[in-house]
Amino acid sequence: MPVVESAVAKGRRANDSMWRWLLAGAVALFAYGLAASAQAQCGVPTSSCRDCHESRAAGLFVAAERWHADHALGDFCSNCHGGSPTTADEGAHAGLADPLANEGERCRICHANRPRIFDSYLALARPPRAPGSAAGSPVLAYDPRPTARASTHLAGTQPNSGRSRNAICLAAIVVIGLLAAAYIAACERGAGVLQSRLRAVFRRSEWSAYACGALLGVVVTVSMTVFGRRLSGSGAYQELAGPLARGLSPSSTYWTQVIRPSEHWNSVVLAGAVAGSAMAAILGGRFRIRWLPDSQWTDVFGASIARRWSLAGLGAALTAVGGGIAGGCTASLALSGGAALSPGAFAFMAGMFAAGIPTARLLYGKYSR
Amino acid sequence: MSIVAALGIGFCFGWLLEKAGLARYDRVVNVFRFRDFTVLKLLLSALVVGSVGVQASLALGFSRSVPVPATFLAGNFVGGLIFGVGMALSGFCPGTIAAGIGEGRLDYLIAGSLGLVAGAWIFGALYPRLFPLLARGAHTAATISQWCGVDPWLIVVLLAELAGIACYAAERARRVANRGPNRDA
Repeated sequence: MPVVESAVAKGRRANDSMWRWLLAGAVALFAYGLAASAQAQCGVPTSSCRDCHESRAAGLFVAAERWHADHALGDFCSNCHGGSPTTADEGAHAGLADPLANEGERCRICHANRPRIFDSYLALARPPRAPGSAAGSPVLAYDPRPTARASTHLAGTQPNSGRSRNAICLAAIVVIGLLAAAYIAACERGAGVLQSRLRAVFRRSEWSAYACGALLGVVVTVSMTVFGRRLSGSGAYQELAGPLARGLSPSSTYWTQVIRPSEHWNSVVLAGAVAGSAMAAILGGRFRIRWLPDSQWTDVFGASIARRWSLAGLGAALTAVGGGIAGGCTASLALSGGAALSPGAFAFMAGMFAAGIPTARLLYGKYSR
Repeated sequence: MSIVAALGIGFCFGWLLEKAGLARYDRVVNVFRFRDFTVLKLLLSALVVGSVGVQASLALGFSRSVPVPATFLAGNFVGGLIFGVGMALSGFCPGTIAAGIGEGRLDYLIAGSLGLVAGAWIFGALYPRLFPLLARGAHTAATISQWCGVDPWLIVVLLAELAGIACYAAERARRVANRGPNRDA
């Protein structure tokens, strides 16, 4: 390759790379739009009920009534209320039903063997009957339309036209920004240098924690906003445990209603994560089959595989139980929940460090490296 | 379509965890020993970017809603305690275990996965007893901004500020102690 290039050739190369960057930006925008439009069609989110009513309205439905408080931490709205929990637009309200009709018929979906639960709800819902009125089945005032209170809270949402105008404006900002960045980079460094630098970055064995964190933030944002899913590790293992648990106890409410047999999103994400990590490890030269951690573990606990594997299994089981109680793991609660500003995410992180620090201190004792 | 999307999201997730070195036992445990703050730095920067991204997406109307995990503070905290013990024992969490498997670690692949499936099964068995207890603590607000009644962007900025302070303190502690994450695998 000639070291000295003519100014014309340099300019042409810069131009080439600029178009490549532009094309990449356009493809990214197109993919985002495709994914966003597919969201409504595939109905990927587990329940649009909680999403709209809780993240957009001011927590109206949680803990307002006793049965709401009792069911608040699950995603069970549709079990009682009907409707279409996989639809994100107004169609979600199609097929709404009175939750307490037919003597708690809908409660039986989960509580078939505990009739006292829905008897108590029915009693709570029964309007005080005027003395002397004819005895009969209680008439429940059930109006699926949003209440006045709900609509004031929802007034903050934007109408469709403003939304698309915002989208066009943001697209322009992104395109102009990419264009400028590509132009400046091409002028300053030259496309060849840029390309070899990029290749070196991908082969580097370790990236800065801040860079990884920021990119992970982007991944979380895409997962949450485009696909309506929290990024999750523990969710995958709950899905994987499903078939086994359903085999052992086929009537369990948890394994049929909470962890639904049709759910596979998190397992697929997990498979993708294994593939992504393997790719990164191979490119960075860190892939190797090994039975024990490379360093530190053997200094403290010795080289016994049995010891490492039993403690790793025990720790893993504890994280699964703890994650179940807390309602998520580091990725699905601390990270995704924190990005959505959920108070629970920060309570979880506080708990994680409050227990992790003394446990590590206990395990390591005097070891101080 | 959704399978491709899930695979793509997972791929980036696993890639980033591996590149940050979170597939290593010592990396994860040493955050609890104040020897290596990689986990903290990664978590905080992802939180800041993620919260900005989520709020921007909502404000611009790209998405109408996001999934918010349920808040029941005592349950979240107690679950976090158990989770923290497990994480300090094993040196991974259910997300970084995928990164460890990708690096070829058999303790993650076999012992860790079996433990996680067993734990998930145990929690499923405890669920009917635990659910009523946890439900008692259900919180009225889904997000901090609703709880405080302030604009979500203020909380995002506050979060970024606190994360910045924490990261600065972590970097400073490493410089002072000078025995940080310089023991590469």
